[in-house]
Amino acid sequence: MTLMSVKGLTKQYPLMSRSEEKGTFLALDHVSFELSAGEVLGILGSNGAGKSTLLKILSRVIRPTSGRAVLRGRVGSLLEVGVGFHPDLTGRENVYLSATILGLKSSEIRRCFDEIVDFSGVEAFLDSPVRVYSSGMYMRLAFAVAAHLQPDILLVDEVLAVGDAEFQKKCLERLRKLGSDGQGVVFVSHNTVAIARLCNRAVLLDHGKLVSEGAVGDVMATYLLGDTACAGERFWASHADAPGDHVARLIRIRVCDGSGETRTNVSVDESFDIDMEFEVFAGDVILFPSVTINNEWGTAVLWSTDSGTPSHGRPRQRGFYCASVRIPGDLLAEGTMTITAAMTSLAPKRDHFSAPDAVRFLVTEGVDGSTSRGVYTDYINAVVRPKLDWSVRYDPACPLLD
Amino acid sequence: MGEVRLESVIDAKGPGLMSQLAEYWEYRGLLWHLVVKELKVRYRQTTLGIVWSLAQPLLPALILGAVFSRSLIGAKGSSVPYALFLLSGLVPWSFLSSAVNSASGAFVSNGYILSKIYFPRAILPAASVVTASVEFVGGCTILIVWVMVAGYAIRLGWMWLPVFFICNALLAFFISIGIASLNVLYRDIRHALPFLLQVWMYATPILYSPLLVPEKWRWLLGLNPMTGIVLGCRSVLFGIPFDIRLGITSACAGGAAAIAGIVIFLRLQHEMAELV
Repeated sequence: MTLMSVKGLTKQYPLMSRSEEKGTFLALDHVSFELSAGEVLGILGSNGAGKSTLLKILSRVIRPTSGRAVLRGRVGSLLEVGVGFHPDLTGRENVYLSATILGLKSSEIRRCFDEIVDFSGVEAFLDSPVRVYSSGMYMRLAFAVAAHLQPDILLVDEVLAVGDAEFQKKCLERLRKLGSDGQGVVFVSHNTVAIARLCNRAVLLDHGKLVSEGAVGDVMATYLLGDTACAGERFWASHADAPGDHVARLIRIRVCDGSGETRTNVSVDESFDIDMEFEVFAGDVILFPSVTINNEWGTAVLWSTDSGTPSHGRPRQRGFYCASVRIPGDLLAEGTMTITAAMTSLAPKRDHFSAPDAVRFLVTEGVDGSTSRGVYTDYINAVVRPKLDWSVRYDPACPLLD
Repeated sequence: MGEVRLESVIDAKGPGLMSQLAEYWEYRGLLWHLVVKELKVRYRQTTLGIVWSLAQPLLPALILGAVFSRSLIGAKGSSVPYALFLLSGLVPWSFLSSAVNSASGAFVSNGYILSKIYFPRAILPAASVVTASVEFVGGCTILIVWVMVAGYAIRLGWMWLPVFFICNALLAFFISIGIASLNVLYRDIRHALPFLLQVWMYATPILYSPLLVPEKWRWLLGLNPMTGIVLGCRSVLFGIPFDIRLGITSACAGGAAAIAGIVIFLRLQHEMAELV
């Protein structure tokens, strides 16, 4: 079922210069998309792309210049946490006030009041004015209110930019639950990791235009890797530009799946190939072609060369080579990866070519329980993420102490 | 999921007037909570609390009453003690002026909320007016008690008082939504407002009786929507004869002011979030 359909939404602002109108500026330019029930839609885009404008129009804070959106069901919007909180009112009073501003009825608030307080964990301070709260308590209470809106469509903007890891985790879990309960969520964030985990689908805005729409991995790859020539594949057409010397030259490097299709993004549990095509000009050198995968912090996650192939460790004949290496699933962590392709000979050691960050690709991960993280939603600070065998033995009493 | 879902359309035109009105009914709970918040915030950590709201009509009435009691501008042609005469005008007036004063800043001072969340906009000034009317109850009580102490009997005509007070509140509300909306565009209004209210007060027969105004110019008082309310209150409280012609023109002026306020508000309400 379609919860929301947006057609040709446009928002125009006059460009003012010394209070004279100097042309116009399109904050949104004919944006169209749909949201179905049970879907968590991520909106990606750099600053000024029109994400917040879009959300403000959908939540009716501002009006579009033209175009139309049809929303089915109750709409909850969460453009900021703690809207309507007043520092001099107590926590209890603020819960009521801000929940009413967010569109809850008094009877509904009474019904879920205890739940809100539980979720926030600030019972002890409920009757103190919120100005004495720590900012963490304030945030928790404010989000608790927002989390108990029961909308059919929830619009969320950058809420996760604030708060500590614990808080962000709570937010994410709450949003994910909404999606799985059959409601629709539109989620704007710069936190691409959060988007990748939460969203089924995404749209990418650029200067007010919708430039990409589809599965979250593809859209994210378009966003993070940009239109640069190095997303998923890199090809050097001419000798002059290609990395290399009189011994060997790199022609192409790419990330592809089993069917030979070039990929800009892979799921964390999916295996894929790195193809490296190169040309050898000197027939008597022992060459080691290698790939290094680096993560977004520049850490080299793995290095690999063509060991185990017939040509390994022997002088290579002149000609064209395509070396392919299979990277197994459940090995890399999520994030933006770059591949460095190199060709080295030893004694004396020489790099015939080394193309740092020749290709970029994205590793994405959902939290549906099928990957090595299971249903653990928090950030994992590890370079690799293999799926390991765990066994757990349970005993109601500790057998080590009698 | 087979249940009927409410469908809302967002476009450049916006919803019609009827669905906007229906929305105000939906959001009545918000009005209540805003009023409670306003009162709590205003009087929390004060010792006298809401008693302060009595000072606004009472103190000027006592001071001006003492100063002018022997002068000419008193209640010419009536036996009403001057301080009481003043209070009967100051109670409705101070309600209007405090309501307009606080409501006119309602959009600008809540700009942060306006730009983050949608709700029917006029609720904000409405909350200020309702808050002022809670304080107004105190002023009314003092007035009524004084009137009875002064020896005026309760008459059937007093039933008109709630009507005048409702008109007073509606006038305050409709003027406020206009002024508050304009204030978003022209912040000067907030600064000019105290002076305008001062002028308006002297243009209203509060300190004087309309009989003091030369007959030739008396119709001018009818252009002031507050004239009808102040004279009406006095007429029913003290049995002073009511100038019907003045009352009707004043009511028309009130209607015109209300329409102007509504029109300004309707024109500006959707741009507010981008201007505050």
